[in-house]
Amino acid sequence: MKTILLVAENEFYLAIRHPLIIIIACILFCIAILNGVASGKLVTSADVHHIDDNDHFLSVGLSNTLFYTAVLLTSMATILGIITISDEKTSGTIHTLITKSLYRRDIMMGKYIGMSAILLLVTIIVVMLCVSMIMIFYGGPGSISEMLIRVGSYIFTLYIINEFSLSIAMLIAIVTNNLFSSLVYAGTLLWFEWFLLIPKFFCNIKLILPAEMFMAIMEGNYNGFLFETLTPYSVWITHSMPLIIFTLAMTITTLLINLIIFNNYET
Amino acid sequence: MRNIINISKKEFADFIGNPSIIVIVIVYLLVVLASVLNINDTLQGSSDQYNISANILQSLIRTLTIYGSIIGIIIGYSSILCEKQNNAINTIIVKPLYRDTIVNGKLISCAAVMLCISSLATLIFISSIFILCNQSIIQVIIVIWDKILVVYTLSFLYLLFFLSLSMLMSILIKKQSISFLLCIILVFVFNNIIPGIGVAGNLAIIFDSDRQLITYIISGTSLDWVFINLVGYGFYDPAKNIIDVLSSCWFDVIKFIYLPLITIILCYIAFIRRDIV
Repeated sequence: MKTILLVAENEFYLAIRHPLIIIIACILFCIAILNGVASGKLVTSADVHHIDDNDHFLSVGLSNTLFYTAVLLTSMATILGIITISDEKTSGTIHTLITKSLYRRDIMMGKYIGMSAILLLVTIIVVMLCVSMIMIFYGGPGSISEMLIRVGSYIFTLYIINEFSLSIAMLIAIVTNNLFSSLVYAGTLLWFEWFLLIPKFFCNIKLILPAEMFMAIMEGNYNGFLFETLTPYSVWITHSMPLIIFTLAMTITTLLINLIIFNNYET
Repeated sequence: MRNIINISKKEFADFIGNPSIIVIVIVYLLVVLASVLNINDTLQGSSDQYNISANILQSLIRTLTIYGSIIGIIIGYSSILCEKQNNAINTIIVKPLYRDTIVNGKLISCAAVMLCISSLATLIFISSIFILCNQSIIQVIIVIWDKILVVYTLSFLYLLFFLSLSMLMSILIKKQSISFLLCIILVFVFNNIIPGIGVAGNLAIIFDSDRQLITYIISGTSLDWVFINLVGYGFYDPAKNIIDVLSSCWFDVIKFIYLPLITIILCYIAFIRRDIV
């Protein structure tokens, strides 16, 4: 366990200073601040003109940032997955790492845990920033407990989707031989998963695409959106729980596949 | 001139022979087919000409621009990366060739590859509609053939912009993983976040009195927004003459010419002046 944590700590400090991570984090912070400032007028106007009994703090204020936050965080997860493996393969440091007295599974798990820690940190900071900015410029939510449980579920959903994206990106980086291929495949997957309109009879493809899973979980498997307070939380959790468990299972499966392939990796 | 053609031929052959690019192009063409299946699902039983025309043109625009832009980014990026990776670019630069000959050859080959891919995608799109869709949809295709040509041309210029942008990023940024991924992030930011609710929408709400002006100025920087604005000029209406539509929105359409031109000129300047290592 100690070796895994050592590798994780090293990966954490290396990745947190990566320019792309800093750029994405800055973009997310700017969007959160801008959304917060605008929510003072936007959410107030929604309170007056859209009387639908939803708490507009969540259904208007926080849901405005949902798409951009999700896309940028999954981009960050994909970038982390690629740089942790492909950059090392390109620079040749992976050969040095493999010759050390470390189990290969410890190296892979350490990398995964290090990247996951960054994703968790950034997800919590960004969502908390969004919430606090809306509170400053608009005011508090109708019910603090309702807000806490729904925002907590949102952070958890974002995090597990990021974990799924991270494990897929690491799989692509391990399987491909060079940096160009891993960047091209990961970049294309990232692009199409967020922008592709899937035909109805391919709808089951959502089970392997993190973006589609995220939307399905947030929509409560199309039975009620998490941020609409008219839908009881118990209804949302009942319908989303199978998808959440499935996503976690897919993440663990992908991670195990990564471990097997990396164990057999010939330098 | 002969040197430019030789370099273009070599680059073109490199693209065609790259397995990763072939795989991505095949995936893209499958996505084109998926778009046609979506149209068929959406327009089942519909006979309203405007609805059919709007769906076809929107789907074609989406297929060629949003889905195709990743192909443009990959092509532009790979034209510089493949040589940097093999250190061939240092060898080429010391040869008795002007640097602008090299960059001309690369740009011509990238544009030729992009033209082939977008032509193939458009042909597959149209022919799949003829094969899979019903007679009412096929009749509308025959009526709006001129608008399809305009969409094809504007989409090619749109893709040229992203192609030259990714080439520029590859030349300017030494670390290749950063240049490619940064290009994708920037495309997303400039096409979705800035013209959308993220920036333009929020700024318009903050500066309430000038909402429309702010939205127009900020969103107008995005080429995607120009396509969205074409609806307002009656572009999707099969009864409207294409010349009348284009003449009323020429100020927006001209962005498709000067934006790719700016990025191509910047590529020239960067490649000629910068030390490539």
